[in-house]
Amino acid sequence: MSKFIQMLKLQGDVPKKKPKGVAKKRERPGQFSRCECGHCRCVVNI
Amino acid sequence: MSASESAVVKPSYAWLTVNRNCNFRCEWCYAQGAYFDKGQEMTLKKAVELTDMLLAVGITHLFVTGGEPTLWSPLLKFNSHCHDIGLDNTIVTNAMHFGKDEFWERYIESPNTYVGVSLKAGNPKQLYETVKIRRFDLVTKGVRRAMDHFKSGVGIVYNSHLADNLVDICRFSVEECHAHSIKIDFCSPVFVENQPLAQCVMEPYQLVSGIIRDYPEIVKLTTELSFIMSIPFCFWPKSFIEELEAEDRIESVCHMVKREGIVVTSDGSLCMCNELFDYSIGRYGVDFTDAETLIDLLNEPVVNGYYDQMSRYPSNRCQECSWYNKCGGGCPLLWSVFDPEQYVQPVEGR
Repeated sequence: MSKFIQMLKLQGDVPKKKPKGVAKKRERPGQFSRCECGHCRCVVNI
Repeated sequence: MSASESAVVKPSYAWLTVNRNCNFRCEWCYAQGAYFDKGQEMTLKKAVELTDMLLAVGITHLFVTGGEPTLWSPLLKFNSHCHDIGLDNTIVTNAMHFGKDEFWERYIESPNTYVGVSLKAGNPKQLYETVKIRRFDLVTKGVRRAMDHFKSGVGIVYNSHLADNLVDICRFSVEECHAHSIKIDFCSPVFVENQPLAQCVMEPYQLVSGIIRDYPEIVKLTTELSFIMSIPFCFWPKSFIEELEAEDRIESVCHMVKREGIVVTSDGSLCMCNELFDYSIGRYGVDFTDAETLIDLLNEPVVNGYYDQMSRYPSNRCQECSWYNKCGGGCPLLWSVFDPEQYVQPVEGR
């Protein structure tokens, strides 16, 4: 993993707090959230 | 004290990568790093053991992914097990196998709880150019079946093949496949033999101008549209991000940065992100054997250190940005190819 991290050009510090991000506000049955598998980034309804 | 040291990390969802075999050959897929190896298939026994362990950890949702998990032979038996233990799961698929009548009839007897369909193309030529498959009819039939049965939507990875065709594929998804929603994500690099491959990754500003150009047409097709914002917010016109937020059409910050999800691959390797399967942080049966030892591993200082390093501000200029809490700096993998110092501009300073 260290080897991979060296590949990244990230130059900032480690944040004190994790970013919260933005999530969909209107959730209802049949509305879809992201599958973050990193493979297809397709949608899922969770 | 860093973010990861502040509380006990306990993931709430997980991905089980059950195989590497796939019937598509997407150039942007991480599975090419495993050469789409048919031999890399999780046994049913291991999948059940891992699932039971993840449930004991407190996972509330499981994603079954690959490769192409509809080609995973124990899939239907595995679905029965998840049903028996009351764990909702989502299959992540290109849906082509659903187009085969014999498989579909067996599949709907023991389906996953939900489906996530990744749509690659909107016409036969594009399908061949993108994934090297000629059976557009079968793909269309499979995607439509999934949409109709699960009342689902599609995900589209915006990549160099779609630079001038995004509206067409969106139209196809809604009009021909009956997609109930569209989510658009942006292609990120894959890693093969310790090198980033980015032949399908669009240059960020080219990507931004393509989306801004196509957005008004896509919105006419569906209002159930969302962008998975793996590109930092500061790359976009401020007004566009504000509009997406106001219209509830944006999601941001991945599970790895938020430390909410984990990935377990076909050989039991624990990974921070599915694209990082060559960089495992532990292995089932060796570094963890049950829920307790998995949680211990995820909270070890060395593992916390990996997450900290992956979650660093791309640039210290991000610290000045009023949008960082929502933006999170974009997908960390982007920065294997692009230099943050050339791109990042804090919003206040623009």
